Amino acid sequence: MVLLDRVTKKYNDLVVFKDLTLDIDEGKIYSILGPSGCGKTTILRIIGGLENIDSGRILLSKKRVSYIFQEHRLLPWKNVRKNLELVCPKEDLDKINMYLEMMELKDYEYSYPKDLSGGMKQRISMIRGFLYPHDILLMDEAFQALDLKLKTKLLREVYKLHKDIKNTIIFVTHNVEEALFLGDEIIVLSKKPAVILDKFKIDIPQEKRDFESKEIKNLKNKTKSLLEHTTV
Amino acid sequence: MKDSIIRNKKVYFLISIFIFILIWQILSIVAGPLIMPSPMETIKEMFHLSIRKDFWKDILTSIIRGIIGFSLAVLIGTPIGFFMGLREEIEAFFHPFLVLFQTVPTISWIILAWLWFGTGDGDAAIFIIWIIVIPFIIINVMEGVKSVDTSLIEMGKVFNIPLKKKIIDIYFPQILPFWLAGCSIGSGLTWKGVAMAELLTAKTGIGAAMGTARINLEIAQVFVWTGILVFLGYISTVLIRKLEDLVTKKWR
Ligand SMILES: Nc1ncnc2c1ncn2[C@@H]1O[C@H](COP(=O)(O)OP(=O)(O)OP(=O)(O)O)[C@@H](O)[C@H]1O
Ligand SMILES: [Mg+2]
Repeated sequence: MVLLDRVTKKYNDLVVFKDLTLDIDEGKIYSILGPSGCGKTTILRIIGGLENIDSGRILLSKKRVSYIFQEHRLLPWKNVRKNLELVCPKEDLDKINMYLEMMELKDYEYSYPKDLSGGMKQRISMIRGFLYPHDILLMDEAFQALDLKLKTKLLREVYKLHKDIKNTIIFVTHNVEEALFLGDEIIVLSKKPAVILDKFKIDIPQEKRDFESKEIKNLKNKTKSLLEHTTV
Repeated sequence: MKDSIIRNKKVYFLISIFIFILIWQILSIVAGPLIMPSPMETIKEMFHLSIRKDFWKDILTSIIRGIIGFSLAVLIGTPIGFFMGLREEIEAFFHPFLVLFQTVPTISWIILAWLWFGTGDGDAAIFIIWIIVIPFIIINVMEGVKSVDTSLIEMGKVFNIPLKKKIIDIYFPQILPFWLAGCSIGSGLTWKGVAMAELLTAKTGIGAAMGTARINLEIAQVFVWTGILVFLGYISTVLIRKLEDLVTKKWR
């Protein structure tokens, strides 16, 4: 399915990308890698309907989109539970507790954002993204403020959720390991104006990926050198 | 540490009041009681006045006029300011009215109100308060809407939050501090406006009573009424600040 068809996006004179085409299969996880400022967030914003484009087409065909923003974007005047209820359909309210438990945030159900750490707010914002009924989930650097242990745990949970509800995930990051951990397909962008430098599938199922294996190590090195070259 | 700062602040507050009363006392001794009644004489005058039924009636009348004029300004100014902040066309449409309300001198409004409404039951005073207060409500609400965090608006858009919830849960809490600031300024102006309007257009109320005091050269009475107006202004700003603390203390 073509999601973005030869899309060009400019901010005034700044061309972020030109004729970018994003082709995806439903129900898969896509990791988008690229140097800082290359336009990763911009791509997600376009898919999320937050940004106009200068030319090309967006083909969402009634797909519902949920978004985990790069910043947490919680309402400061609502406690954690109320922030989540805001986007949660009535029949799914019991899932709130389930997710809070999973994210190790059960004790903070009634806390206000000001009393939470950056990583905690990030996790709440993740739960919000999960709760909102969607076909496509956009994740922008969702694991940024987390330590390695929690990050690994959450990456696994995201994968479990994905298996459950078979959503399409478009996951933006500049961390190669994260990208390889989660993605069925990896898209590497150049510095702006962004073009797709490389695009490859990982055929090993997520559960069986071994980061010590030669295959993954090779992919990792290849991707890293690709990224290093484009940043220069 | 914080406790001692609070205690210090109270001390300075009391010192400042003490110095004010002292200067007042000295001036009254220098100028003589006819021109500058002393604090004590003013308090005595207040007791004299307070046993008269008219005294309380005048106060009540002014308070009611003030509240009606102020409430009408808030009621009408809030939505106008809201939509002006939301859409530039609407701002452009209302802008000339806003400028008109702000730049026409209050005294012109008073004379016009007097000609239009007569000196009857204080309609003129209510009109004057309304016209003095409403620009501040409009401007503050408008500024509030314009300064609303777009990242939260986008969040509301992505998650398809219905309009009513968007207004109540996303816009309202962000506009509230601006709105209350407008109300605070407006409530201060209300009591100044009520006295001025009543002096020139009404036969009852604090302003009218001050007019009588002026004719009779009762300076102590003028002081008493002034004190009451100051008190009303102070109380209303304190109430509004308390209200703000009450609503925002959980999440600020
Ligand atoms: N609203 C805007 N107005 C003008 N320029 C913008 C705007 N938003 C983004 N840009 C520019 O567009 C380019 C792409 O930005 P974008 O946020 O998509 O980058 P990114 O790949 O997400 O970066 P990062 O990894 O640092 O988050 C950057 O050069 C940025 O300066
Ligand atoms: Mg970004």
